[in-house]
Amino acid sequence: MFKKRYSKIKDERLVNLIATGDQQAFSELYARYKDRLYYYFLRMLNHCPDTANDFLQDLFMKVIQHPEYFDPSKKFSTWIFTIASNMCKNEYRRLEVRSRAHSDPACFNSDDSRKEIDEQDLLVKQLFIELDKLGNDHREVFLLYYREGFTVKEIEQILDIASGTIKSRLHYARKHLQQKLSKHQYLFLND
Amino acid sequence: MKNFDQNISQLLNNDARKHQPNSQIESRLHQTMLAKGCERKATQNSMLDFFTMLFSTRFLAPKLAFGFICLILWCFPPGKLNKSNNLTLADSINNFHNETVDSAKIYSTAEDSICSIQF
Repeated sequence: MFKKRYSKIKDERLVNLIATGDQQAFSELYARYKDRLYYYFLRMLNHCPDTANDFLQDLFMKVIQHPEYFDPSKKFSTWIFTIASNMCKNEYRRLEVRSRAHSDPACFNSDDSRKEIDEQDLLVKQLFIELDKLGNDHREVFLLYYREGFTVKEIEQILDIASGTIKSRLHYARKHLQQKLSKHQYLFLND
Repeated sequence: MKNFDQNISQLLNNDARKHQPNSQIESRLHQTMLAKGCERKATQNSMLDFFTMLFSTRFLAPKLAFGFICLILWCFPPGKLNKSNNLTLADSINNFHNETVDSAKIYSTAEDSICSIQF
């Protein structure tokens, strides 16, 4: 009964309910965003599942402890991804993952605990190896656009950068991937 | 280009489905939330303690003194005269001066009348 009711409530209202200590509201909000944010952290932070789990927990801890920081006039999805993006930037500064990402592929492999690795997995791996070469800025814009489905305007709000920069990064990433993944022709059919 | 965009999105979505966060995170976060709820309750309890103290017989003398001061201030608020009559400080001083002069006159008249009494 409760699930049905909470599933109809908007994200922004759920944050207000969390501020009053509503556990059900938190469960609903967590269910809506956990997979998206986990995948974002996983791909942004050296493809390391442990780090992604830690960051996901920290992020929701922030939401629980300071729900009042959320501005209800703004969209919750852009707000939470702004926090996630800032957390990644802080992590890059702290650990200099930027330089390590290329030299240490061990973490990338560690998340492939599954036995079945199909062609798609290999393609994804190749895709992220190429995106890692472009750098975190391009990878971030690429993920927000292609995976999260944010518009350029929304990415502008999340990353606080000009729309021209976002379009340029997307174009460059697309071009780079088309060159490097040309053997996977099905990706570029009807282009 | 549209086809490329769609294929990439599809590829990433399929990949995302294969990666799930640790299931224990949610229960940990719920515990944190419960703890925060307890903190809130503790704050409410401390407020309750304050009101209990306020209406109990503990610290009766200072509470009565404070109440008396509040009563005086409520009955005779400072600046009430100035606000109600739109009088300035100078006007108040003048009024005080005139009243003093009047009192002195009355006193002197009374003194004169006493002096004029002949025994």
